[in-house]
Amino acid sequence: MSTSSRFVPLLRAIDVVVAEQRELAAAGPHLTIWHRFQQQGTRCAAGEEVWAVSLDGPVGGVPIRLSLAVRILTDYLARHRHVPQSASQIEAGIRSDPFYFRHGSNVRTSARQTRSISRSMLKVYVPRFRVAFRAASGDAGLLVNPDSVLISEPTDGNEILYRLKARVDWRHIPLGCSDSSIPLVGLR
Amino acid sequence: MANIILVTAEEGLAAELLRVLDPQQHRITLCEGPISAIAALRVGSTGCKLIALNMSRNRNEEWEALDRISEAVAFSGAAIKIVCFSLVYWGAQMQLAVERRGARFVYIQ
Repeated sequence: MSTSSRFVPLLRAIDVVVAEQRELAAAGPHLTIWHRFQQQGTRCAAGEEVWAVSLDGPVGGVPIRLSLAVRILTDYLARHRHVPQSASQIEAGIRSDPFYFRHGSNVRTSARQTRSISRSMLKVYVPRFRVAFRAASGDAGLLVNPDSVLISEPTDGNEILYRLKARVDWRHIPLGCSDSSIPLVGLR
Repeated sequence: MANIILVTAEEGLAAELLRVLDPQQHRITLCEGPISAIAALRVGSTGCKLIALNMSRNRNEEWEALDRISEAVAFSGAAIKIVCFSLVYWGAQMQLAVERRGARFVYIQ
């Protein structure tokens, strides 16, 4: 084997990393949002639960450990990721959307399955998302700055606009599917 | 083209790698250890996108170097990747241990 050809694996790894960085810079990381309790023939319908959010990296999908409220917020920001929104707009959007106020209602439980997101709590949830994302990005082998994923953008006034910069896929788990039979492709 | 910090104490290997990476039009900053690598990282002008770390000896100081560099990268907030490489095959555990730290691993035969 010639001297330079033995370094081919390293050169290829460098190429992959550079391409990955370009993709990350342009479109952000790849998230998968898992919806559970899906009824047959529906997709992202009211009554489903935002079950998990995972970050997909070179070593597989890593769950981002988020509370119910932050999972709901993440789902909302993911659906509206092309439009930066203020805390008031997010609050109004979540409160008016049946998907969120009927969140998880396809299954009866003893505890409340949804959370109402208030403007003031958003200031708490945003840093929580970033902390959880930072932990997951290390596990996923990505080392992405969470501030560049959940972006806070200033406006001409006092308002801050929030935007999720990520590529997002939604996957659905049908109602009645037991945990052991859930096809968690790539989710560790 | 990418700006790469190459961390290796082996001069011969460094020269060889510089020769190989040069035609790829990568800009290389050569560092002997983690201290100079972190210093190079802090100099924003390098615009480093990737750190290539030689772990061929699989010694404690190389693992400490990886940990220190990973921490520095995390604190920098920049999207910098770490690729560890080894000229010696130390088994699958080494690759797993590197990947657990959020870096990539390449074995060079």
